[in-house]
Amino acid sequence: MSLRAKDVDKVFNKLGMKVKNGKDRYALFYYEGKLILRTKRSLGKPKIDTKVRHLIRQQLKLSDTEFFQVVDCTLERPDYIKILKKKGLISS
Amino acid sequence: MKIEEKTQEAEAYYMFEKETVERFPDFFEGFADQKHVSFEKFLLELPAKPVVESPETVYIHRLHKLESDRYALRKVLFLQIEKTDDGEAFIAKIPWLDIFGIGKTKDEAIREFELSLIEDYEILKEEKDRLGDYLRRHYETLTKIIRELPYVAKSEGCR
Repeated sequence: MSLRAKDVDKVFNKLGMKVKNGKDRYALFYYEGKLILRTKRSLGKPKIDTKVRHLIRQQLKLSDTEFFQVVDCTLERPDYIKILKKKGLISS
Repeated sequence: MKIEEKTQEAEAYYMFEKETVERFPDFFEGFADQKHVSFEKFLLELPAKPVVESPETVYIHRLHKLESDRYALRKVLFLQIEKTDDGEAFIAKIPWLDIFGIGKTKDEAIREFELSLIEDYEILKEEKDRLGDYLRRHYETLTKIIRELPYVAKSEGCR
């Protein structure tokens, strides 16, 4: 299932990521002043291909279910922080 | 290099090898009688263009240099190139490096990969004093892959 680019922007926003626009749109996830993860999406394309979504999701260290939970607003930044702590990407 | 880093590098390399061998079983069969063929040799022997093209077709591209006057590669990189699911574009990626580029053609995807690699390096360099463990290790890997070139002025400057 392809995704709309604005849904990916919603994910960046819901996770409280800092967005930087260049040739692509970069999204940076900071926690307590540290840059923990980064991802990007291409600008100018209204749809995000399934394989590209998979790559973005991998960079965010989310499962497919978790990724769609963010899109559906049922998973937010505090939950994401818990996931990253569980995965050892943020020290508890 | 510390043992821990060596293990991580070997693990990443192993995963790349495993994934590639799984995706190219037919090509790998050709090496069945050579028990100790190196993975580098295996990749070098891969045909440049598979016979059948489908969204699942994966090409291997050897990236020798960057189209940049500011950065150069320290080592050859093996990129996987495949079509997007809608078949409208190509993705160039290195799974273990977690970097990808997308383009309408294979060449454009490769170019986009190069730009992503450079942009990733620049973003992490800018933040290098406040990187989490995962991105710190990633940044260290990038510094082993690309190097900055000395600045050379293109013009004679203002008069």
